[in-house]
Amino acid sequence: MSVKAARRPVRPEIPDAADRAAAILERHRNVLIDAGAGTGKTTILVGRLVELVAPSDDRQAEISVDRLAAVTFTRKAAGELRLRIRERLLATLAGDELSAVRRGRLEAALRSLDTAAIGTIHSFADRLLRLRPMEAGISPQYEIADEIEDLVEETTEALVHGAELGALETFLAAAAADVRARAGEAAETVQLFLEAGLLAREKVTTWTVLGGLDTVVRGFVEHRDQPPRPVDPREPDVAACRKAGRQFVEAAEKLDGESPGASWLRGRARRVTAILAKGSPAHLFGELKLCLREPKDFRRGVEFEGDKVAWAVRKNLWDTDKKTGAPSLSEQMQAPLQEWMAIRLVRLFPVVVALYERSKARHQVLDQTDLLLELRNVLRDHTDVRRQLQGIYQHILVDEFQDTDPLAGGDPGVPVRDVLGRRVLDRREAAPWLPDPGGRSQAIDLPVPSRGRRHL
Amino acid sequence: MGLAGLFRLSSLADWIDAIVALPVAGALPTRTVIVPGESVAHALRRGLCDVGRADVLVGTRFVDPVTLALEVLQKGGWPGTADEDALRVVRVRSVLGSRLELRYFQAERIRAGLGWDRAMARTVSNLERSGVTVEQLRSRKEGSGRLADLADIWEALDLAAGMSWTAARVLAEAARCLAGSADAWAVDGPALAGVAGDVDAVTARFLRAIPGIQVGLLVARPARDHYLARMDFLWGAAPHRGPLRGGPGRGRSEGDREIDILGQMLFEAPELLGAAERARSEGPDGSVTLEDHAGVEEEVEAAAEWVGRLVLEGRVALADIGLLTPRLDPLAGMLVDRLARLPTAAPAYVAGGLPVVRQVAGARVLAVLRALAGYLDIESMASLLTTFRPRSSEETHLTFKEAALVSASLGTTGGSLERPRDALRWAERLLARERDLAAQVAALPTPAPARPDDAATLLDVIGRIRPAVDALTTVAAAVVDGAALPALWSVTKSFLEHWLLLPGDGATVPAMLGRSLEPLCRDSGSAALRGHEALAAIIDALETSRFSTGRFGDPAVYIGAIASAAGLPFKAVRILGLAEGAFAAAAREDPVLPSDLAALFAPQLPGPQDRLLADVHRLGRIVRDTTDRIVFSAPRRTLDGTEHEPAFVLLEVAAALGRPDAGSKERAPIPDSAALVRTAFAPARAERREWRTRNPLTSVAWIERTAGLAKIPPSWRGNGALDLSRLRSLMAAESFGPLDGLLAGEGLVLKLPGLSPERPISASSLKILLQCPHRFLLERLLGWYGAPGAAGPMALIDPSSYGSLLHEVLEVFYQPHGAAFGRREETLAHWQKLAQAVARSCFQELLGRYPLFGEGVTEQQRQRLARDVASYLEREWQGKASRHVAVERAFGYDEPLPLAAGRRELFVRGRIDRLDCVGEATTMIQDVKSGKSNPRMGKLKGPDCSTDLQLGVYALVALKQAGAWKLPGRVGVSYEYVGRSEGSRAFVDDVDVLLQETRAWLDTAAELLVEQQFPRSPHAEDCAFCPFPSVCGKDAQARGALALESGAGGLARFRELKRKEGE
Repeated sequence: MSVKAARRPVRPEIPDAADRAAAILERHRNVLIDAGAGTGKTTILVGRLVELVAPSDDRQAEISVDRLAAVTFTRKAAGELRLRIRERLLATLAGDELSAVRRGRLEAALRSLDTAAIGTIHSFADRLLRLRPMEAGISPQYEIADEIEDLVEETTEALVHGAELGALETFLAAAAADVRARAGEAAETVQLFLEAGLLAREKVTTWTVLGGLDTVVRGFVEHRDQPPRPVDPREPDVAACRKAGRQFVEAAEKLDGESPGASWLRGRARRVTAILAKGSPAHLFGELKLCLREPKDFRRGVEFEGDKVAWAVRKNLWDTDKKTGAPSLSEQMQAPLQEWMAIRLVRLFPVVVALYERSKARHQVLDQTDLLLELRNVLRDHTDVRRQLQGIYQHILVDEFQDTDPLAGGDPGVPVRDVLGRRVLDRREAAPWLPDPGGRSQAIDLPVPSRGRRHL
Repeated sequence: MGLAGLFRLSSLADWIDAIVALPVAGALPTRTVIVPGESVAHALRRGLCDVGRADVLVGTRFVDPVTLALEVLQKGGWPGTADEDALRVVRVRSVLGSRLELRYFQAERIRAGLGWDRAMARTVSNLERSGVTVEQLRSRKEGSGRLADLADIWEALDLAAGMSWTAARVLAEAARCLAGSADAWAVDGPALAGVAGDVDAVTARFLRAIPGIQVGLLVARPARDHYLARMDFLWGAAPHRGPLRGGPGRGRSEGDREIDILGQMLFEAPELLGAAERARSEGPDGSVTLEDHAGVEEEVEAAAEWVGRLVLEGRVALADIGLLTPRLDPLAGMLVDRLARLPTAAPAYVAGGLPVVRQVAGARVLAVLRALAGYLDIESMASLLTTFRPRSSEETHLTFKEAALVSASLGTTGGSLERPRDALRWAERLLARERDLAAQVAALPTPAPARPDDAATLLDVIGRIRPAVDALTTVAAAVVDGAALPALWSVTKSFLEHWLLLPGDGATVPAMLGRSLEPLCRDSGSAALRGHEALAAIIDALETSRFSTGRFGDPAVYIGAIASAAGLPFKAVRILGLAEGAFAAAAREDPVLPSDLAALFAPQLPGPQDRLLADVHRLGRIVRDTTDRIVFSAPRRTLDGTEHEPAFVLLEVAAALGRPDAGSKERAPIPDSAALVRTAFAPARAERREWRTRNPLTSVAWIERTAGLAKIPPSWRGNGALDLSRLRSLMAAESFGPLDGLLAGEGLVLKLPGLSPERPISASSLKILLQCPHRFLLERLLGWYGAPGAAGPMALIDPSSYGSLLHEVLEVFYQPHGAAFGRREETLAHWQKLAQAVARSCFQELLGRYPLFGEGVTEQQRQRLARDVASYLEREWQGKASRHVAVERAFGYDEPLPLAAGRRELFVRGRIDRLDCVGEATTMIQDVKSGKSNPRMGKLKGPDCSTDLQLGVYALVALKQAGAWKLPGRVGVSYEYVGRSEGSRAFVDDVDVLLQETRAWLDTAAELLVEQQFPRSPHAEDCAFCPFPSVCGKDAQARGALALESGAGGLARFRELKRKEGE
């Protein structure tokens, strides 16, 4: 077979060929291709890009490859995309019957391909940020930290030591005034957290992982693009806690059975009495948490020896009332304290984030979230930068659009999680989220699996 | 008279021809050949010899442009130095610290550091090399003042530098001198320079200014428009235009081997690649190979194998082999190591050398500097202690265990970012600890017991390293107190030379570092760096220092970056690391002068496209200068753990070769990814596999071959211990033996505990024996323990240390007060007060040797202990009064204590936490536990071997010792749980059941010990906290069950025990 013949494989026409061609040729509207795996979405994207840089109709204006961005979501996929574009450009150039105009355009595209914005969404953000580090307020030399564990550790240490030394405000010198104003409250929260017997660092055992203050820090850092709702500090409803505690103690003290279960409940009642007699909410939080743990293997007929009254006390202590939905006494005792501690921790958020920023600045690193977050901020806050960067790209092509983190588009909505636990865009909301200068978007469904076509 | 001739060079061979053709005047020839570096000079010299023109070497000087430029300036009386490149970052820092009024850049932000100094230095250096001037920057109005700011900074830099010049400035000024007067040129004879497309503008300007020079331009493919424009700018109407024809090396241009085709067609225009009449490969012929590998390790392994194959099979000289990578580190080091491990170790030369920090000594110096940067935090120090020189030459350095022991025994020590001055407390903490220990040792009876963690040992260990730690603390003080760079380097160097163990050639590291720092220390601006900044400068200098590996020209495999190898001739080249993005990848945007502004100075200032194209051109030159074979190798997974496609170069190579498709036999002009795998990677894989089977050069190949051979050569069976049939039989599933812990009949003489009065056994050892005899074998008999880790500040006291602390408190309290407390004298509040005082004292003592993570955590743990002690006393107070007998009562230490174990006796020893008498008839034995409680409920209602063996043993001991200890003849036992899950697990009325079970358990234990049978437990839950799952393998429990299935004696008893547990 000749070389030329090999260049023109004979393929049967497929039913949605017209739609595919439309997706490649459309110039005035956004195009959203919704199709399953193996239907040829990436092939269309590559075809569209080549058509943009070197239209098959010479009369159409070409777009420089420098003014296109092709984005996907993993390094491997980005590498594959880049390779496929090069392959398509080379293959088209190697073909005969090319006009001089198109050949020139294809060669120009090939020349610039290696510096073109084809990569992951994070590398795209990185590329834009490095154009304006001064406006973004970041180090011009920053490296990208793929793992943030060491930074989280350093942030936790700064939080704990800063609280102890009364130096949190100093550590927060570079933060906004309202964050610095929280330094005192944050120090108190750290102290209360530890006073409540909670762990400073996560403890991993064979069976469980017990969260610590570093777990809170990590959570805040990972989701800092979605700050918690502002909440005012409040004192715990200790009276409600005491009331529920007294209810339990009164019921348990009346028990006269000798079963292990009844004995255990009487012992707990004594302990609860002692705990409630002492004062601070942090103390109550920690002690009640330990005291009210339900032993496993508590059975009515065995450990409670059929003692109905004691069993009822046990049920009131730990079980939600199925009829009324009323919470258990244990929950009534602990919930006000947990809410109080949770609010205090939530109010740590800006302080933790500021300390995290301090650590990153010290090491001159940004993490993956920063790339998107910092770019969003600089685009939001600097009109001139936005105008400049908007002027760079005429078309953006996004492969695996469903994997988009809403932050990548500046969408404030709550992301959903995919099967791998990644934050992704809710596809149902994708179309309205797209900017649509033409007034309409063109949505194209591809029902035919192209990979299977050869076999069929 | 400047440039006399400009011509094109296609390869090294052309260059050699040009040297030969240089006109010579006079009897004594004098020629100057200007080369980019010494390696190219060597290649040219060798090339001249190879073509039989060694005579040309007489009177020929090979020299680089900067050396020539310096000579020009020095002839004119220039008094300056050329150190400024090394000083530029520090100089920028100093200039930015002055009161420059900037327009675009925010002065405060860039003064705060964060890397603006480096970024500015790099940009100014790039501009300077490109010949862009301050005036040019000022003449442009774009960029909102960025360019004007840059011009001001640059001008200030030059002013501050005085007569300290960069290499670029030396070239520029020398060119100016030559342009002013040809007399400035003092070199006789003709001059010839060879330059590639990546030459910078100041070098080109200098070369053009040399009177009568001839310049050969090394042309390359692809000749993009921007490349041609730049060449035009640098050289005027130049001979670089026009097609590049011809393959690699002399006389090879018309060959039909794949490597010839590649030389002709690589990076050729696609329409030429698609042309029907062009030369194409008929299939792999061994001269060009494309490989993909699962990862970098596999790539390195394949490279080593390839070198071995070339040398042994192909008889290729080592110096003719090149291993090239897109970037030198870290692949170069891995290759050197791997080549050294070949059966016939292959020496290697690394162009550019390897990082000093890759050496043991360099890594140690870096660890010291980083520890100083981290204010001697305890984690860093714990790992450093082993590297310190002891106080006298008769002593040895600390082992890891000793270092962990020291760091764990000092309490909270060391500084941090938040507490920098705590770094200085190391010396005083060690001194205080040494004094404490000395007092403890003085109080010990004579002779003192020798245990590895006792006070005397620790005292000795601390004494050995205290002088080194004192010296390091002095260095830390210099950092914290902000000493200037020269002073800081002086104390640091003194520490490194006197107190750090630097093995091998390590003694040269401080001297090498000193040489790197010399210009900085000499320069007044840099010498003003203080404290942490000065330390950062020392770390920078160390991290960028490299040590030479081999010498270019020696018989050694050449290892280098692609960029450094362009222009060197090889017979065989392997290019590794060609993952997508690793080669010719777009450089990061310059944050100071982004590409849109940089484009204003094009083509003078090369842009990203120029830099990428230069990489491609260098690769093309390497291909054309390789004569016999070339391999392109891509890892699918790179060292950062990410997956990558192969680099685009492999697609270009495949397209250039034009092999017929392995499947369809068609010839597509540009293969797609699938065709690349079929046609390029698959044949290489098959060929390698086949060769490895025939020639097991490496260990992996050796194993593969072994697996494939029906008969093993007798020579491989020489060593009995490693005999393969023996190993196979040991591993075979149907027979059980020593690898399963079944040592009966093996004739081994083991010192087994429990069977003789000299070696008693503890209850906890018995528990492990009956939980999993195999673990007992590994841990208690063979002594396999995990390596001790460095102790960092803890967020809570670990369970074992907390248990010891609690026992200590109870012992100290009950020893004097147990009797009165038992009689319920005084009030509970009275006793609580006393007990809390004891708890505080013991806790304080613990803090002296146990590091905790800050005051908050310390207070939390103090409260935890206080709460547990209070709760323990309260619970006891609420129970019946008792007669206190003993706390921490030892047994089996002074006299052997045998317990009946079936037909035998087991000698035991241990300590009983509490012994009390309740009434006159019952002895109550308590064991205090601070861990998870196991109340007598559910499955654990009755006696359980794992849980209750200890109680059972104590009960038997108490019964046996009743007379001696004056105890009633009836016993009750209980675990008293303290802490998170308080409660108790007691056997009082039904203690006989426990005693009966315990006797049976002891019988089983004795049988296993006597028979030397240590099978694995068949229960997965017994492995939950075991440190040896990787030793036993994933089928451990199943194999354990099989081993027990048909066993008799101890095995049968153990099987029955496990069966009961499983019910």
